[in-house]
Amino acid sequence: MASHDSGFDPGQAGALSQESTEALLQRLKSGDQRAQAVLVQRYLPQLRAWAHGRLPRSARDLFNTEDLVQDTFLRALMRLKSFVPETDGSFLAYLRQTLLNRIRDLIRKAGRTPGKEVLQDVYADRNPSPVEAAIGKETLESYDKAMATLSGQDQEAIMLRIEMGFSNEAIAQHLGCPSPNAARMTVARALVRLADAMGVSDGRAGR
Amino acid sequence: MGERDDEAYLLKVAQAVVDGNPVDWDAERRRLEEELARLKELEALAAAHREAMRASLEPADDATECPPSPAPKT
Repeated sequence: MASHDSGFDPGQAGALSQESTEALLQRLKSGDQRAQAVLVQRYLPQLRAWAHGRLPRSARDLFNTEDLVQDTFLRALMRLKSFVPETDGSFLAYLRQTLLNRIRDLIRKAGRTPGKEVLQDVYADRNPSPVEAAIGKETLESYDKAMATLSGQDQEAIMLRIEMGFSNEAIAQHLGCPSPNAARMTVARALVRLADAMGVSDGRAGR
Repeated sequence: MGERDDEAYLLKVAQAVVDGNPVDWDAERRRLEEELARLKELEALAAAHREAMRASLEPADDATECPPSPAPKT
């Protein structure tokens, strides 16, 4: 990881690296900065990889993905007082939503800045993100809208498996499922509900 | 796939059969096809995320960033 101004030191992380995310968030809220280092180490790589799929290609000329993700992560940590995680998965969902809002916000602001062709490309969708290029703008919008209608657990299950590629075992840990197979079924059921919600948000028939 | 969700859905259709109520089989077939189409879209979305994650872990290919050669002076 690139150096940054959070004071991150992997050496500090050792003693706390086995603690649950919830415990680390509690530590951080009570002022233990070592917890921040562990959270950064635990979640930054996933968020960075996720952003790679959602950031429009031409926007990468404007924002360094690494800096954007790191900065958003640290801002989210600073606003932790208003966040109460139900599971480890809900913390990652919180980070993902914060980052998604930030990306949208930056692109919107970029669209209002005159005189830069690359900005116009971003705003005009001539250079969509890899995910948008693969499934189309309408489907991605329908997906995002439908996701917002699901329960927190369904959103987290889909995000962890579909967007971030977590193993069933890791999902079980993050969601508190009794086994990897239970996590697998949780994701599958959430997917069915998501597909149904996408039909409703598109005006297509749901069940 | 969610067996309980499927069961609940099929149960409604089966109840209509049991009750002697008419079933619009074409509409039910269309509904299932649309549901499958949406799952296919989600499969594509998952694949796109996997590909983006894989790409994010690979070192950048500098060769693709080379600027075009300058035009020869005349």
